[in-house]
This record gives sequence, structure tokens and C-alpha cells, in this order.
Amino acid sequence: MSSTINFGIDLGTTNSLIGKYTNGQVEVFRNPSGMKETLPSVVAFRKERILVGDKAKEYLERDANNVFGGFKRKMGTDENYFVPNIEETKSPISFSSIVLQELKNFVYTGEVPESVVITIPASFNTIQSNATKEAGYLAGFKEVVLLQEPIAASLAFANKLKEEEIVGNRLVYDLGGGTFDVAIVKIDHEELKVVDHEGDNFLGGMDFDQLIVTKIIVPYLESQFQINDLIPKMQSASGIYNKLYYKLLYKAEEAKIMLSSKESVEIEFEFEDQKDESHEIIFTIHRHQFEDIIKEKIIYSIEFIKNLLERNQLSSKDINEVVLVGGSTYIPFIRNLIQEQLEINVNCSVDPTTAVVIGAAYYAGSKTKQLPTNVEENSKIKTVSPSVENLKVKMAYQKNSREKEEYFTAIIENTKPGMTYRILRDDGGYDSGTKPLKERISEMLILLPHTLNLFILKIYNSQQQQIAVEIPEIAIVQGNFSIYGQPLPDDICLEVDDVENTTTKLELIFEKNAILPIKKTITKTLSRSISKSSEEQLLINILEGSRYAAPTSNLSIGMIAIRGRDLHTNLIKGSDIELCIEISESRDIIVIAYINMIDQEFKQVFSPSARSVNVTRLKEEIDYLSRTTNKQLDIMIKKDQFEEAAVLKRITEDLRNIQMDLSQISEDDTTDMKYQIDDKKRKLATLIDKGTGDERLIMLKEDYYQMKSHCFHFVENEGFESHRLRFDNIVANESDWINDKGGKNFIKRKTEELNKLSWEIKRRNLNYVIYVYTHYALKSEEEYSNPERFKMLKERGDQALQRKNIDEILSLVSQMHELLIDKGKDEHMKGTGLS
Amino acid sequence: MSNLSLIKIANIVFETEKKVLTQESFSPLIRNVNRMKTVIEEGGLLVINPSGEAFSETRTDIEATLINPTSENQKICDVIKPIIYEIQEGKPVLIQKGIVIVE
Repeated sequence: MSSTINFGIDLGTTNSLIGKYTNGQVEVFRNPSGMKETLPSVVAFRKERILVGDKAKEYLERDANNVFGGFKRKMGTDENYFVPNIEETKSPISFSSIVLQELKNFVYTGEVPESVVITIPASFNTIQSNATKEAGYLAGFKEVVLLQEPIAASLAFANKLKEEEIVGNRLVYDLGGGTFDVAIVKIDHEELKVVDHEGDNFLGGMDFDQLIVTKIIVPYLESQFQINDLIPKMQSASGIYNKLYYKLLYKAEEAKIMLSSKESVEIEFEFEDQKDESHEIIFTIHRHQFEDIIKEKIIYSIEFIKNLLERNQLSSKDINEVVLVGGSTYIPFIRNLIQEQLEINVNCSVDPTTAVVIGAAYYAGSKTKQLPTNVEENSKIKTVSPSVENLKVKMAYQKNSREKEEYFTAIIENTKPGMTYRILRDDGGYDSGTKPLKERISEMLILLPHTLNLFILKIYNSQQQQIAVEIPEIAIVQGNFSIYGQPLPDDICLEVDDVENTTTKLELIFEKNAILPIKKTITKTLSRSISKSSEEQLLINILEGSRYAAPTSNLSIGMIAIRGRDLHTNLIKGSDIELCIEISESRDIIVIAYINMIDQEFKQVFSPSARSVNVTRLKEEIDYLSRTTNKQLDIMIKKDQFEEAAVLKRITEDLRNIQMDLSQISEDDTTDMKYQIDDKKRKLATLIDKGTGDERLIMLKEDYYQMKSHCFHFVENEGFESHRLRFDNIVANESDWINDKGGKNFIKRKTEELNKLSWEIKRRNLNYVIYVYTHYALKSEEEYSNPERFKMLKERGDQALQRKNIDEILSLVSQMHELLIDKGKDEHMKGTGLS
Repeated sequence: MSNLSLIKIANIVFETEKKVLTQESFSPLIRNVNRMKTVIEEGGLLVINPSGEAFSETRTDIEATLINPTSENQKICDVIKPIIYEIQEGKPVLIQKGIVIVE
């Protein structure tokens, strides 16, 4: 356990944050619900539950009696608040403690901080400071150390400076969402001290949003649509433009943020005029307009600084720099105006939103814990995870649901007064709020569609510390995952062209075990042109089987053939085709192909009972298998691999037989002969892929590993980051496919991809390019189809060598390769037309 | 593409879809919008439009402006920004709350 406090909290008037110091760095924790670093310091008491942060803020203006914000200003006063919804009186201390408890939930590491540094405004007196400490203890912290906000902010900046740059006076200008503070901080070698401070509790970024609406947008709408008194119509709860007002406030905030980096910004909204006619408004706000409307407020804030300096008999020259804190100081105009008016350098090197919490955490990282030993020891057992004897939870709920929400109930045995509970969905989208724990609790749990929803039930004691009691997760499967859903028995793939290897390959659409029904839309590109009225066909072939196998081994479960004669106009290579593939629960396959360039849609529904086989395609596949098998057979015989060659020989004979059978039937054959042939073809393809002995698999694996190591060497030594990413991508999930017995084709393809990547790196190396050129140039003329042209290329190549022109040499190598009689290429298969 | 850029694009596509759906003359663009949505989904984001759904104070996936908080059966009547989840290791994680108006 660390001996330093490490945790820092910025308990702000508008927003609060929590951070932790570890090894010289500060991490600001995020709200698990929505991932924001800030938590609005607002607490709402709804009928039975307590809400904190964003959810509470929603009710701030509309249910003011039960929702509390800005209570930090009342810390240390005897002002208490009656909360009608719970019929209790609450103090600012208890509101603050609720915010502090909520911040603990941001700590995703599982740690439960016991000691913490909490920041307070420079203006806080002893009573207010003690009230903050009390809030900390009430929230369950055992040790609370206070730190003034301007000092925390200065620390965040000082950590970026050299020792000699730190000493001196700093002005901390803190302009947040709703409050403004300025302080003079004196730093010498020993200490940081707030010399004096000033502030306004009603000045902040929210005022700027309102000004954008009232001073820029409203005058425009009034003049454009001849409307009078639009502001009251917007701001009144019963006003006809009240909804628009809130929408515009949001748009204004977005525009304000963007105007920090852009000269102008467009906002768009719909506006209904007084005749109920709808208008699409696209409105440009320029930075200078924004600056004009906020200038008065900023000058007002600078006057505070001038008064502060005068009061302390300081001039601008006595101040090293102005440190900017608070989200509103992102606005460049504010930075420039301060610098211009005060002639003091402005430092904005630290994120102004998190500067205070970062400083607090730095301080916490240097502050040794002062916890009494017995507290620390006990805390391991009791304080961190207090337990309650015999507390038992029995839960009941439906584990599968097609509803958007599901009823949950639980019986709790041996509850104690003051205990509360809370249910959270682990994706951050649901929070029951904190509610009193009774013997029987119930809740409607809102579900995220089509997924497994996991909820966690947490129980707290009267001190709001989580109780260590074993409660299983609440797991509810919504939608598709219902008990009726069934998993896919195998991968579903689309056959696409492997253009580089002049064959086809599989592209995964739905993974094995995906739950039906399932739907996906993908966009592919046409790899060849198809003329209208021709017999050329574009094939959309959906196959079932391992994604690593060769397409010919898998079962075609749906195929659309779009022929030239089906087209209104020519299809051009490179144009897009959109494919929507859907499999219903009853395994019907719906394929919709939409070709964008000709605005034509093709739809077909395939059912497992009505199998479809395309005879033309079947012929092409069997011819391809026959050619590749014969070629492989020759290689085996040359290598004296007679045992395996015998197996392959039998396969080639079988292939020849089905070729003969297939030649007897027409495309529109009505017998089941084509299905029988298709089955035989798949079995033979599987045999070729799987059954030609393990030796071939070993050989392919050896080739792959050799190429991988070769490629890795080049990626490491000569490659760019993009090459590394491609390498990682190629070898990704290696363990899945390298041992798949049907995956020989896949391994081969991966080896080729690595080879291609190596070549792309090597081709930038002149020595290697010369080596390749020499390989071709030294071949005998007989090996080329046109010896005369070869001689000419060689002459040009020798000259290019002298010029050391890599591109020229490579171009000549490519031309020589094309002239080679035996290019060592694989057999090619007529493609689908999709890539 | 960075995750932040994809979220920005998802928001723009959402706005575009809202416009396309309001005017019949834009209907040929629906297909293109759907394609963009598919690309965003493939990028690992789950974008949800909660328009018309019931409002509940337990929904932490939205930040609501309540026009009439006392009324019963409150519904989300306008969505300024959609809810966005990121799929991390197969599980959804809320990364953008929906900005909505509730009536």
C-alpha cells in the first residue's frame, strides 16, 4: 500500500473531478457513464431515489425544490434545505458528501481511497474549510487534506517549469461554467501562498451561451420573420419557442467551443414562424461577433484583477504570468485580452478544465498519509469492504427478454436501517440512483437492444460505504439472443476475386455461432466490366463452411448470377455494388444486390430446402480444380512423393468423371444431377484441401514461417509504421488458422501477402533491385518469348543501372518478367466479378 | 481513422439522416446514408436514435432538457445528438450520451 495520499479531488461549484498521482503522472478518472471527466456538482432527490451529476442537472431548473446545485457557496453556513420529496432537511455538507461519494465510483481500478486531498476556494474561511472536511469524512474518507484551488492550479503549471522559473507571483484566473475567481499566488523556494483573491459567483461560460442566443440569433430571427419580443417567448416556460430556446442554447455552446479554433461556424436548426411555416435556418456566426458580445464581461473580469493588484500594491511587472483555469479560458479572445490589458504573459500549457484536480493530485502524491495505524489496519477488513452479518439477497428476473425494459425484484434478508442500494448497467447506460434498501426491492431495468445486458446491484451501509456481500450479476439477454435464437453452425462467407492470385477467396460475412436472425450490408467493388446483353455474369455467391477453406470446398447456400442480358446498361469495373445479406431464424437467406451506377436492384430469397446450383459456375470450378490438381500431381511425381501422388491421381480421375457428367446437362436442367455433381465436387475439393497428406501442410507452414521471419526482418529494419501495421494485420489471429486442417489455401495466401509486403519494402533498396535485375538479365535468351525485345530491355537496363534509377530498373524487370515463357504462375480461376 | 473522428462523423451522419427523412425529395439519399451508417458500425460504434422512446430518470444514456417535468408518460421528442456506444472487446461501452429534449 502506498504511503502517500495520491488521490486529489476538485470539488467545484459547477463541476467536480477526481484524479490520482502515480509515478510522476496524474490520471484524471472518467465517469463510467458517458466517459466524461467532469461530474456536475448537482444532487436531485426524486421520489425514492437520489440522482447525482448529469441526471440531477436535468431537473435543476424544473424541480428547484428537490434539486440542488451551487451548494458549495453555502458551505459552512447554517443554511439548510428542506427537501419536499423525502421530507427531510439536508445541509450543504451532506450534498457535498454525496458528490464526493459519486466521484469514488469513477475510480475504475477497484481501489477505495481512504485519504484524499480536496480543493477549496481561496475565499473559504475556517468554518467553510472544516465543513468541506466534514463532507469528506461523511463520504467515507478517513483522512482529508485541504488545498486552495489557486495553489492547486499553480502546482499543475509549476510542475512543467524549471526550478528557477517557478519562484515569483502568479495570477490564477479561473473562469468556469458559472463562476469566476482570481487569486494572486506567491511561490518562493519553500511555499506556495495565496496572497489575495476576488471573485463573482455569477459569471461564466453559460452567460456566453445565452448571449449568443439573445444577442446574435434572436435579432436575426426577429428581423427575418418579423417577430417581436422573441426572447420572452423563448424563455417563458409556456412560451411557444421554449423548446427551441433550449435547443439553441446547446447549439450556442457547441458554436462557442468551435469558435475557439475557427474564424466562423455554421449552426443549423429548424424554425417555425408565426404562420406555422417551417424554415431550415443555416446561420453563420463569426468569431468577431462572438468577441463583441462577450467583451463587456471579460473587461469586467479584468477590472477585478486590476483592483486586486492595486489593493496589494502590485503592478503587472510584479506578476510572472497569468495562469488560466476553467473551461471558458479556452476562448482565445480572453487569453489575448488579458495579455493585452495587463501586459502579463499568459500561460495556457495545462488543460484548464483539469488543472485544479491535476494540481491536487500532484500535491497528494507528495503528501504522506497520516492515518492512525489501527484505522489503516481495520480498514482492510471493515472500512474498505464492510460486511453485514447474514445479509442475504435473493433475486428474481427474466433472463431473456424481447421487451425494452424488464422487471427485477429481490428479497433482502437482515437489512439494517439507513442501508441503501443502487443498480448500474455495466455499459454506463442505466443507473437506478441511490434508493433506500427494504426487505423487498423492485426496479424496471432498461435494456440495450440485441445484446447481453449486465447489471450490478450494490448495497451500502448507513455511512454510504459499499457492503461486501456476494451478489451475482444480473444478466438479461435482450432481443436476438432470446431462447428462440439459434447459432450459426458454420461461418457464412462471400466468394470474392483474389485478383493478384487470379483465383477467388472467401470473405467472412457472419461468424460461426452468431445468433439468428442476422443482417449485414457490405459494399464491394466490381473487378471487371460487364457489357449489357452479353453472357458474362457477375456472381454473388454466399457459402457456408470454414472461412479458411478454399471457396470450392464450401457449400454454396445462395447465389445470384447477374448476367449481361439482365442489365439496362454496361457495368464498369471499379463501380460499387451494395450487398445486403440477411439470414432469418428459419435460415432463409435473403440477398439484395444494389448496383449504384445503374440504380438497379436484384433480390433473391434462398431457402435451405430449395438449393440452387449455377451450372456455368460449377463447370468453371471443376475445370479449375482439375487443372490445379494435375499441376500439383506433376510436382509430387517430380519430388518422388508417390504415396501422396496416388491419392491425388484418384482425385483427378474422379474430377474427370464429374466433368464428363456435367458436360451432359444444360444450365436449366431440371433433374437433381447438378446437385449430385456439386456435392461430389465439394467432397473432392475438401479432399484436395485437407486430404493430400500432412506433409503438404507442413511444407506450407514452413514456407509461411520462413516468409514471416524474412518479412519481419525487413519491417523492423527498413519498414515504416504503416508496414508494421500491415504485418500485424496479416499475422493476426495466426493460432486460429495455422492449425486449421482445411486452411492450406489460407496459409498460402498469407505467405503471399507477406511476400508482397517484403517486396514493397525491398523495392526501395537499390542493392536489392540490382540483385533482382541481375537475376532476370542473366537468364538465357531461350527462356523469353521474344529474345530480341529481351536484348533491347537488357541494354536499357544496363544504362539504367548506371543512373541508379530504381523506378526505371523495376519497370524493365517487370517487362522482362512478362516475356518469360514459364512465369511459374498458378492456374487461374474465372472470378466472380467482385473484389 | 481515430475514434474521435469516427464519433464526429457518426454525429454528422445522424444529422444528415434526420434531414433526409423529413423531405421526400431526399429519399434517394437514404441508401447512401444507410451505407455510411454501416461503415460507422463496422468501425465499432453502435449509434442509437432514442427519438420517441419513453423518458426515465434512470436512463443515464441521455442528457435531457425537460420541457414539462410534471407530465406523465414523458417521451423523447427531439434528439440533438444520438447515443453512441463503442464496442470494446465485444462489449458496449457508453461514450456519448444522447442530447435530447423531453416533453
